[in-house]
Amino acid sequence: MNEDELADRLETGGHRPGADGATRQPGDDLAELLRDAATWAEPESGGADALLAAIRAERGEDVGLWPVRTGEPSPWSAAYGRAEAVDGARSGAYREAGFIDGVRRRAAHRSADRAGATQAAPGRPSLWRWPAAAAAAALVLVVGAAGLLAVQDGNHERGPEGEAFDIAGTEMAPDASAVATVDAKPAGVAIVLDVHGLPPAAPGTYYQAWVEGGAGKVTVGSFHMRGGDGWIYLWSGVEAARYPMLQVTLEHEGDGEQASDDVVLVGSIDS
Amino acid sequence: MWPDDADLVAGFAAGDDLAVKAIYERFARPVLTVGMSALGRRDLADEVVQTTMLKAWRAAGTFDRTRDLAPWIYAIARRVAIDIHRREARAAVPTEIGDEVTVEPLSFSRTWEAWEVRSAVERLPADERDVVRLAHLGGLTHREIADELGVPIGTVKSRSARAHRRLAAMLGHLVEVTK
Repeated sequence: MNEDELADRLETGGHRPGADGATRQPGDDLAELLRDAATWAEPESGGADALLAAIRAERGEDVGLWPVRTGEPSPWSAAYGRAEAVDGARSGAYREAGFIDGVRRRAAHRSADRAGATQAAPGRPSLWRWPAAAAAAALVLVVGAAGLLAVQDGNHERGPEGEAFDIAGTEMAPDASAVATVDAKPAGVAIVLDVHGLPPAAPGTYYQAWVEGGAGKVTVGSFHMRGGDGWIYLWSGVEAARYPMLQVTLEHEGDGEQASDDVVLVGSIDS
Repeated sequence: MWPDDADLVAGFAAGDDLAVKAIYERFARPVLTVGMSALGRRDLADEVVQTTMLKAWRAAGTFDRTRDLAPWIYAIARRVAIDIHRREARAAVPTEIGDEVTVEPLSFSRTWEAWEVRSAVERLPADERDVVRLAHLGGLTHREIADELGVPIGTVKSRSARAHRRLAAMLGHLVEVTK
């Protein structure tokens, strides 16, 4: 196989399982990797800052980046508190699932539109186009829903375990609400936020979750909600008994690591 | 900013902010891909990224700066992934037999291919990378990609052809292509 043949093999996607008569050839492993969501996954935002904070902490320098105080876990622990907004596919699926769903859905809608436009004869009332497009769109929705169920089933998804607390929207987000399920694990406190009615963060902004107590405020992760309502997985390295209040703030990229005053959700997570 | 990798590693070892961020920007994605390929879980893959970067910083002072940087980072990432794999395997069995558990060794060739493919994808021009991503990850046709990106289908076809020729050139060593 020469380079041109490899390029062709990669471009056509190589051997696909189940293809009649197809045999595996050199380059098929690479084509498979190009289809793998792992090849396109994006690291967590703020990872470089978290690394810098960890390096400074190891060198005994003033961290500065993280709002933690003496006696609390290291900045590394705080930095490692991570959030994952899982766009419908829930835990275990790659974030790229949202991307795949989105582009396929848009492409299917466009195809349906094109099919409708092709079938509508000149002069025929445009109303005739709608049943075909609507049927195609309905099919997309049914297939999409079935796919989502299959994904959830494949992940053996269960609801979060732990004690549940109601989290209320503030004046900044009066229609928002959440249920926080708190579960103490060996590695820390797992917090699952089931969020409803919180609008997607605008480009350049994001939501950040914090736990707060008498010793200060510690971040437990960030998310954006641009995929719609869903579960947010947070980790806290500090105990809920000492940091009993959960807040979600709206943050602007580049504004530093301190919490803004724009609180959108707030509530207690300690019984 | 960094004339060569030796200077970059020197800055990294010294904890220079820009050097640390440069290393992270350059290698976090391939390391994440290795982590996901090896462990299959996003949360563990994130741990691979952060732990690998921290271990690399700790070891940067002793790194032989005449060597290539990428294989060195890859080796650390793979070692970290193996350690996490073992930890998770132990956690999944009763403690009384935990010491006896054997762990399936991660395929070196598979994780190396994953690293190389991700690194190659990252070296593509952004417009070509978008086309490759939509075609392979999104499963879209050229027509659908053209609609998605708002460009003529001819542009998509030419970008796709260029991108896959670049990928073949960068990845040919993995499949022993002939020139």
